[in-house]
Amino acid sequence: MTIENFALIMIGFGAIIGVITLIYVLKRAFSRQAGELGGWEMAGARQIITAVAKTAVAEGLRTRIASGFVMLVVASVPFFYLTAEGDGTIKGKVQMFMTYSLGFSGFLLALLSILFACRSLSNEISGRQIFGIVSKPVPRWQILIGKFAGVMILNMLLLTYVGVTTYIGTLALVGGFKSNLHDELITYGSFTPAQAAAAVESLENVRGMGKEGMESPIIAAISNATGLPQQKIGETLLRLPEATRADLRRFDELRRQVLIARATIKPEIPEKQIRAEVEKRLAKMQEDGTLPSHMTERQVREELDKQMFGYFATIAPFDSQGWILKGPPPPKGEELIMSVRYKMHVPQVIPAINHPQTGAKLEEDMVLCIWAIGNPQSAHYYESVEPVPARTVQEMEFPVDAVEADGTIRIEFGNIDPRRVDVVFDVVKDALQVLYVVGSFELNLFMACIAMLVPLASLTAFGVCASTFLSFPVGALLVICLYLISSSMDFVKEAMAVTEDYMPDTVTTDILVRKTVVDSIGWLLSIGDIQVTERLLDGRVVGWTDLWADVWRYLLLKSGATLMIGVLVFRRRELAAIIV
Amino acid sequence: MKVIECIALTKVFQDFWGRDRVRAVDKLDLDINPGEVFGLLGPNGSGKSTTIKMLLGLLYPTSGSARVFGKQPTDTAIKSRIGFMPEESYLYRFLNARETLDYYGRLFKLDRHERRRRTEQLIDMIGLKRAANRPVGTYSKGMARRIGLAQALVNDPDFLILDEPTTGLDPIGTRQIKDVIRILGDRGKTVLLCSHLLADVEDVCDRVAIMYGGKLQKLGTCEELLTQNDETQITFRKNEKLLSRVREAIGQNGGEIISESHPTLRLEELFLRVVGQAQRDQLETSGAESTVGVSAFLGGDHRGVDLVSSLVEAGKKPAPGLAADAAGTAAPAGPKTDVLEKLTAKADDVAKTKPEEPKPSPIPSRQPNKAVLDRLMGGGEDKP
Ligand SMILES: Nc1ncnc2c1ncn2[C@@H]1O[C@H](COP(=O)(O)OP(=O)(O)OP(=O)(O)O)[C@@H](O)[C@H]1O
Ligand SMILES: [Mg+2]
Repeated sequence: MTIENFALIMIGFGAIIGVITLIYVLKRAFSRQAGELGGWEMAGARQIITAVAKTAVAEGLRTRIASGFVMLVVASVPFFYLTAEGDGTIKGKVQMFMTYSLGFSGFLLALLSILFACRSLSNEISGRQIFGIVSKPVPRWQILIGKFAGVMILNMLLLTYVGVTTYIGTLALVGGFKSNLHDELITYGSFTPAQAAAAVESLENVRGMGKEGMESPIIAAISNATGLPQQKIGETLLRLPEATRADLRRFDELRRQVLIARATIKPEIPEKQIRAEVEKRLAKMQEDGTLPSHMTERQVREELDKQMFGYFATIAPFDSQGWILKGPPPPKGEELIMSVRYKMHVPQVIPAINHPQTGAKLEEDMVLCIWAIGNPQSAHYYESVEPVPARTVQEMEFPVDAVEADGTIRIEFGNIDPRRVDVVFDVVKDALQVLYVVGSFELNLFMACIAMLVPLASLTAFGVCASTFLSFPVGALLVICLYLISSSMDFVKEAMAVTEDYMPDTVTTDILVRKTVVDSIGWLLSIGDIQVTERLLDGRVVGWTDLWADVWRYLLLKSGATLMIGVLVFRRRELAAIIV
Repeated sequence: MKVIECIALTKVFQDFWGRDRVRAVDKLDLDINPGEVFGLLGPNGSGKSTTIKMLLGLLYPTSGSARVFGKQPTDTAIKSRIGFMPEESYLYRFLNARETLDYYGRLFKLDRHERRRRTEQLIDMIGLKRAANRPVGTYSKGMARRIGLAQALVNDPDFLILDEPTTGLDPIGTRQIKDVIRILGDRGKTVLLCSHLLADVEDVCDRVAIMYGGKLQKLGTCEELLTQNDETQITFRKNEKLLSRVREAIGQNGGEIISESHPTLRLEELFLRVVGQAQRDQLETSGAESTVGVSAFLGGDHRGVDLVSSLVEAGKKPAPGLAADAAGTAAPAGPKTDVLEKLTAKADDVAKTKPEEPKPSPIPSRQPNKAVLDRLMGGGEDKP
């Protein structure tokens, strides 16, 4: 028996079991029916939903297992504050703290939503409190929505707490750094307290692009605030401990790259043109009869695709490539900055040499390149020639006025490394973006918290739906399993070999079935997690568009559909029937 | 329009595999008229609670139909006119009495003011003012039952369903339930009462039905059922001479006949008779069989003494054959019977006085507060 046959048999087997289960459920749901079930009415829904939700919240805060979870969430944020270390710099600390406090609370809240949503209703059914509700003029859908709302209110309360404490914690970490700097400026730098205070204050007003050494805008800002000459400031700073000096630069980065909300613009990929070009070439090859005989048409097309996209993304030695990015019209202001965030890929290790012309030393894996931003004809055109580390994410800052009035950003990259390497930007996979400031950290944190609610809502809907036909521990375990599968879906896809990379040239039915099954499971289980923590760490904005797409798709559509299924099951359910 | 209309109502419980297991209610035909206080009686497991659950849409009938106020039991619209006190109090353990009643008030869409008014009055009525701020999870059984009663009354129901309302209640609470039923009855409300306290049922109910094995065995007004039309009872002033002459020949001469009536049974006797008959006919029941007697090992020295039958026997006027009917054994003799007789006779006395005007209850503050009820319910009555 071949593997394919085996897989087909298993899938067939699963399908039969599924159909039997479905028939069983339908039979139970529709057979012993007295008649139509009343109760889709809307009148007074608000009052009843509020009442049910309020009681669910009370249950969450007063019963032991739920309140235990609440306490865990409440205690975790201060714990992470106390243990935040990171790479030891202020930026690392803040990033670490945010990752853990948001990430861990997100996980805890997910578990809480599941446990609580699964428990509340099914306990009420097994404890028969439901008799007291159903014998009152309460349509059943309102009970479910009430439970959903109750769990979500609890989530919101806790998420508000998490958001606020994370914010306070971040401020406290920054405050700690500042007071430390203040003290050290006095002890090591012999500043007067007033000068130290002014210097610390001025860190918030550092403008312009970050530069090394005496040109650093930090020195300019401190000099401005204290009235001391820049030379003196530079000397003073040199007397500070090494860690503090590093932190000074890190803090500036933190301010401009983390504690901020920045939108992302990606280069436009002329995908349509590329595809059209591919088809044209393919047609030509067919016409000329130059199709390689050992390849199928599909393989040839893929090969051409790769070439064309590669052409778009690969910059040969001493070649250059331009991209055009379209963003919103730039905000006014001379000193505003944007950054290009990119990741260069070089196929091989490049050895360190001295530049044949200038004699400057070129380190290993540093690529000498030109970045040019803006229209060369205009006054606001910037160029930087520098060796840049390959294979890691880099940010390069440039003033906002390089952006044209209609929001167009021209970026030109020149590969001038004397070691003659190909440089690849995987543009499709976000290897080149422009980030610009659109708002404050506070706003971003707020949006992130809202975005965190979406997966919680999905899980709550799953839980409430499960609780209409499963008892507490069973339902909760099921939904936790679904949650775990959902959060490791990429891995599952990999394991089931259905990702693009694994797709062979000839797709057999077996593979197609497997792919369809895995993909639809992935779709069913997706909960709308848009990885807000990662965005916060890079100061990338959780934008309204993303948020709205998420809310619309997962909260309104998917959670709505899930709850609807729950309502349909619940309406059919004989609540006083006891199944042992 | 009838308040309740059951036509061949049947409920068969199935197990997980869909096999029929228990025929809990079997072709039940039952009507309840508006303004009636209706007693549903039957031994344990005879299908009373199951019937009630079907009337509330908590269970769906296997066949037959039930109508409440002319509508399907699952129709939510009728529920605002129904008050239901389940066989046990299933409450949220984490809410206190006030919050509980407020919650149920919200489910009836009462406004805040009305909710507060009724909550306070009901808490007053059930005498839990002191405990009102404690979580109901900490309540004793009877206290929880009282909350159960209060929650059934919060909407001033037109139709009150009480499933064994007196279990776990103290005598005052029991009395209060009777008063509530009577007051609601006087106000023209309908009450469906399931109870094992037959004396109380006899006191308050207009009509009773006795179920056995899910089937209706007897249905009628208390009067109809308890009057023995084939016997006559004549009461006359005590007159030894006359008595002796009556003894000789009762029909010959006219002494002063004060009353002439048919003797009535106690409901308890009727109940035992019906159930005993059903059992002798070997009707099927999925519930408890009516047995008498106590397991022999509990008897100690008095092995075989039928405690239960003696209890039943002791309290009643001689009704020939009944004891045999019910218990299937003769009344036992022995020293114990005396004590029991006294005890039960006393109970009987109390019961006999009950049908009179409601007496003030022994503790004034706990007195079934008719005024409170009236005020509470009056709020609803004023409105059109
Ligand atoms: N959910 C259920 N599943 C299976 N059987 C049930 C269920 N509910 C009740 N029964 C059975 O139905 C029969 C009738 O039960 P029901 O609760 O109606 O009795 P009852 O008359 O209320 O008795 P009691 O006086 O003890 O309250 C019993 O045999 C019981 O075991
Ligand atoms: Mg019962």
